[in-house]
Amino acid sequence: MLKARLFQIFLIFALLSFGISAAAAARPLIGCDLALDQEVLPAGSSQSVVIKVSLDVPVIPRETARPPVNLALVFDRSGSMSGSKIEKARQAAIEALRRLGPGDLFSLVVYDHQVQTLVSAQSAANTEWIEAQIRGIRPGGNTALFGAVSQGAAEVRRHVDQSYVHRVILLSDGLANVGPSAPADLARLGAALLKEGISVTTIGIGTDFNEDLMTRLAARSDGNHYFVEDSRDLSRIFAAELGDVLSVAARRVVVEVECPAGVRPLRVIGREGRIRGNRIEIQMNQLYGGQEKFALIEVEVPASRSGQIMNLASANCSYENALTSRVEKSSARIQARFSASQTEVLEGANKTVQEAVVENEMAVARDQALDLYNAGRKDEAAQTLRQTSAELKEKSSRLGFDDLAGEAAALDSEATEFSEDKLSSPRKKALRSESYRVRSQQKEY
Amino acid sequence: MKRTGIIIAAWLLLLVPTLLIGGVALRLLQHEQQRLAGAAVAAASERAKATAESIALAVAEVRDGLLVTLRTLPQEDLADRLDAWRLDNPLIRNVFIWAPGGGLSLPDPQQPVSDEEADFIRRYDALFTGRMSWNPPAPDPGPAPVVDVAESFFSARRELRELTQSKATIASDAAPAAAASAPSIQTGGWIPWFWENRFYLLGWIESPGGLHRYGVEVETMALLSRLSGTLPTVPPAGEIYALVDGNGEVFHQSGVVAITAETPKVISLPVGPALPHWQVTVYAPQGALGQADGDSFLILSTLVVGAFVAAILFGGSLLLWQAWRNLTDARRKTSFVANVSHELKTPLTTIRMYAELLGEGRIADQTKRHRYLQVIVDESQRLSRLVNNVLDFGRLEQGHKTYSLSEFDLCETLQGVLDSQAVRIEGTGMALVRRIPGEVWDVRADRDAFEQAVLNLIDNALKYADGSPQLEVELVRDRRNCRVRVLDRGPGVPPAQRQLIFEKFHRVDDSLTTRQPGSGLGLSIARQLLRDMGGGLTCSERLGGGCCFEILLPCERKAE
Repeated sequence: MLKARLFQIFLIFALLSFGISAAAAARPLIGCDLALDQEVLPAGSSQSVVIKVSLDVPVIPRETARPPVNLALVFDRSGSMSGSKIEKARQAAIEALRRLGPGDLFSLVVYDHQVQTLVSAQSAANTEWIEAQIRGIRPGGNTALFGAVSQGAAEVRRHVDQSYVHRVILLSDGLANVGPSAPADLARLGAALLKEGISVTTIGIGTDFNEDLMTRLAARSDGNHYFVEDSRDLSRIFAAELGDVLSVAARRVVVEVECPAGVRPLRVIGREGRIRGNRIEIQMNQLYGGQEKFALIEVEVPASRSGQIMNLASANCSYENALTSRVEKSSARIQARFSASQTEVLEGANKTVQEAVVENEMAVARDQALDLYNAGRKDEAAQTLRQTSAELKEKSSRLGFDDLAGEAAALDSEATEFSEDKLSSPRKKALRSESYRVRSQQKEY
Repeated sequence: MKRTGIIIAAWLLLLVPTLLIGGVALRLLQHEQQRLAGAAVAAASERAKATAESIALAVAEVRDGLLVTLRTLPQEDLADRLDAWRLDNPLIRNVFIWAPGGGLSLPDPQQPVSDEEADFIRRYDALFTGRMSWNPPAPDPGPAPVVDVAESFFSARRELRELTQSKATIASDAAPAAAASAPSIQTGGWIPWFWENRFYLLGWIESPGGLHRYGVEVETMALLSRLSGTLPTVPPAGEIYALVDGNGEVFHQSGVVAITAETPKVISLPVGPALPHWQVTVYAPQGALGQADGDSFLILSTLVVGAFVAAILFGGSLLLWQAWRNLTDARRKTSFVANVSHELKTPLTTIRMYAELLGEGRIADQTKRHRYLQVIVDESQRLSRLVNNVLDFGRLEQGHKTYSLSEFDLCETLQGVLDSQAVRIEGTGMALVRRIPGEVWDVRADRDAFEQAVLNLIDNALKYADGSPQLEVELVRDRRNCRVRVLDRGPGVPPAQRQLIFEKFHRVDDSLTTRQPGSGLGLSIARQLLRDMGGGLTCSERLGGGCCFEILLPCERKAE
């Protein structure tokens, strides 16, 4: 009798634990979610809709063993770094080093016109010696940025097959004047490194660095970009960056969105993406715990009858869980309902999505305007900003979000700044880094 | 004179070959320095060559590897496979499928999926629209190296590589036939492409049957990024290695000093067709390579050679000088012996003659006899002075002369010497003028030596100041020294001789036929004696003609 009772209890426990583990195995770490800027679409005409593909990463609990980090610090020691800049940078680097654990790898590459590996990739446990190396960095010379990033990447590459979070942090305050210095070239390097799972975070100090180069390198390799006007902020920046690097939850993220026939993808707003036919492909290298990353995809929806429900997209997200090193998948789909009622359409407007659209469209417009401005086409730059502002205002008002329309109006005043040729170097850098931050959903720093 | 000539000839024989050897040694050292610099340049060019080769090989391996993978790709779902490969491989920038009749099918020229694809289509428009050949002429290997290196040098690795490449070319040339007969061998190749001043690399193969061509565009930045590691990490001091791109810009450098437009180049080697117009360049910021080493080597070795030559010349000259001195000494001694014999013989003859006269007893006149005896006494005194001088000279030469120092009154002693010599002096017709204070001036010296010095001076004056109306002797003193001056109005001593007259055996007129007999020792001995006692003897010109010898003796402090 007792035996049968015990067996019953055991059976219940066994079933319960199996259920829990099965549920845990079934539920992927990262949730993939689709949302529309208008959940109810006006019937009768073809129109464009924005689909927001969000990847929601939960906060990784502190007690969970985080994935080890393979970090290469690429340190500018050119002559322009002398003084308090290098002092603060050394201090920040040491603080960053101290946040790493013995399981992490650290390497240090310094560069002026020549690139030198001061600390080749090794366990971050040997901090005293590494700190001595960091303290010994003395400024002088030119800026061989390309070679330095290459060498930093080479250090990271030595352990690229292992389950580390690979990251190169580039610190620079000047223009690259040895080796390739075109933003396009550095972007290609970034793109190649992304394929190896290496992200490059770029930290630009002061007002003399090439913000295009630094943001494009970061963008193509899916790293972060920071603009530090005052070197005293470096500690904070390094802390923010380390915060991200140490909380990586997923790697090699590929999001594939497929639209059914009739729904035509138009563009990806803010991010790099590939549209092939009715398939959209977006890649991210690393996702950080507690952060949401998303992509905005504009699609054209064909005219439909009122009351019709249409599948707009299905998304498949595959990634490598950084905690378990296993490939996981999550998927989602979205439908839209068509209605002839204006009220219903207005009620169905999604403010969160529209806010993201406004922010990203503004960031894209700013980037384009900056490109035009740098190419000497000030009027076109201002024109781009004004046009985007008008479009966003119109759409936001149409959806009933007057506050978002007000936000978009900020572009008008910026357009004046652009056309009056009053953009200072720090202002340009601030605009560029802010755009980058918005477009890559980098945490505020 | 003949012997002096021999010595000069010997000296020349020493000097000329030594200088010749020194010159030849320097010349050889210069050659050695140049050889060292040359060796440094050769080593640098070897390193540059190795670097260029490994870059070329790396590129070739990448190209071969990519083509091999292309060949192994199955034909079904080719587009997807190519795309997946592109997404995965960091060395691949773009992939494409092109059909000779139908143009591009991947990427879709109507709907490029990204800006990158659009750029790709634009970039290779000339190729895909048929305006450019798929088999371009062999690319220009780039400019010739600045410095000539042994071009015959070819490593085995490169030879092998070229062997495989030549096969590939044959396969490519014989494309239709080969494709028809052996469908497994696919035609393919690489196209270096220049677009907007940038270098791109496109690899392609033809599908079996020649239906379409597909391939990859290499991610050049990723490739180059990895190549930058091929430069020597720690180049030798004073050398900078740089990979210079097709536009002449430094792509990557290794070496401490920054390269500027003025940095002197040592050598530039083209990387080859793998990267057309790219070069591996060695710079030497301090000028010529190995110059610093060579310079220090040359300076050091020149110093050593110089020291050797100087040592040989100094030693040889010293020996020859010694020989010459011995020669002159021997000559002087010969003349001394002759002089002394003459000197000894003259008084001896006189003494003998007068003694014989007196011995014969034929001289009845008392006065005459007395005078003859006086002559004998005088001559024997002269003889004894001469012998004393010779003895003193001997002692002085050997350093055996001992002085019995005592304190004596200089005035009194001088008066005594003059008293004893007054008759002799006046006998020659000179008036002796004394200017000696009647005080007591004590000096501490050897009294006999002092007397001899004064006697020698008086002898000297009597001999050579024959026509002088008077001989003056004065004694003066200052705070430290007492000075005895012997002044005459004779012919004086020529300025050039004023030092030489104190040399032993030296005589102003050093011939046996000279009018005055003498050994050439008096003044030399006098000076030596006085110097030994802390004093001195100088000769100077006397105002109004004649000469002035001055004896210097330190005064006794106690007397002051």
